[in-house]
Amino acid sequence: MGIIIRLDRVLADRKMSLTELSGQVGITIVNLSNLKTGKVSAVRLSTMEAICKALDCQPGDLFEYQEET
Amino acid sequence: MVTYSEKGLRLLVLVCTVSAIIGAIAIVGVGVYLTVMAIQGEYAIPLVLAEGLQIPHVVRAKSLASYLVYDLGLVITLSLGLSFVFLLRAMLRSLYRTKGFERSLPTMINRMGVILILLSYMRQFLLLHAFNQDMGSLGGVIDFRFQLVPSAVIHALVLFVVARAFRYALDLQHEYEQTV
Repeated sequence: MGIIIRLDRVLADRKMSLTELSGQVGITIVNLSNLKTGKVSAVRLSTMEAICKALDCQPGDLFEYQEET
Repeated sequence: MVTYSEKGLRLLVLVCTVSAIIGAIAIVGVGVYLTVMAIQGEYAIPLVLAEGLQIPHVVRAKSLASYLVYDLGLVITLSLGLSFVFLLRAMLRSLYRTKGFERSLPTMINRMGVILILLSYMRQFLLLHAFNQDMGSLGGVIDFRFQLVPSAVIHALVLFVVARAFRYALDLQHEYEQTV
């Protein structure tokens, strides 16, 4: 898929761990880890809202589109 | 995740388990009975009627070969019926043991449909074979007509449609599981 999830980069910028984020947004570490590694096929708007609120970022900061070659 | 009422399913699984055990014992029993009859030289053949397996001692095979072919067909038919019960049990078990649907569920339902069709035709071929033997006093009393499309085929088609619906449900479940 051409969509790359940049959760790890945003987390590193905010110096926040996945466990901390999990505690703040109420999503399991397993699910967040799946999201980080791009193993998911869809993200709910409510999840996006919670992550953006916790990380103080925009949805566009978390996703990147790269054309597949 | 949606949960099911486990009580009802457990009861059904129990019924299937008991049926499977009794069925397995019955098949062995029928096998032994047919073998003993063959040894005794009495080629009385059981009839697979709609009411179940009937053993009218008046219907006799014309030869040993005919008797053996019939018996083999009968044991295969009964085993198919038993495998249907086993599949039903496995299907019900998977519904209450796992959260959501198991990957093998549509395959199991499809197999059940195939078994139903096979059972229906096997039963008809067995009756066809039996009615070509010495019917004794039953000759002319009971009648049999071969049906090209028996009602079981319609039931099997319903099972195929259900399997298809479950396949779609599994895809939806997969999508749900992959959504964060």
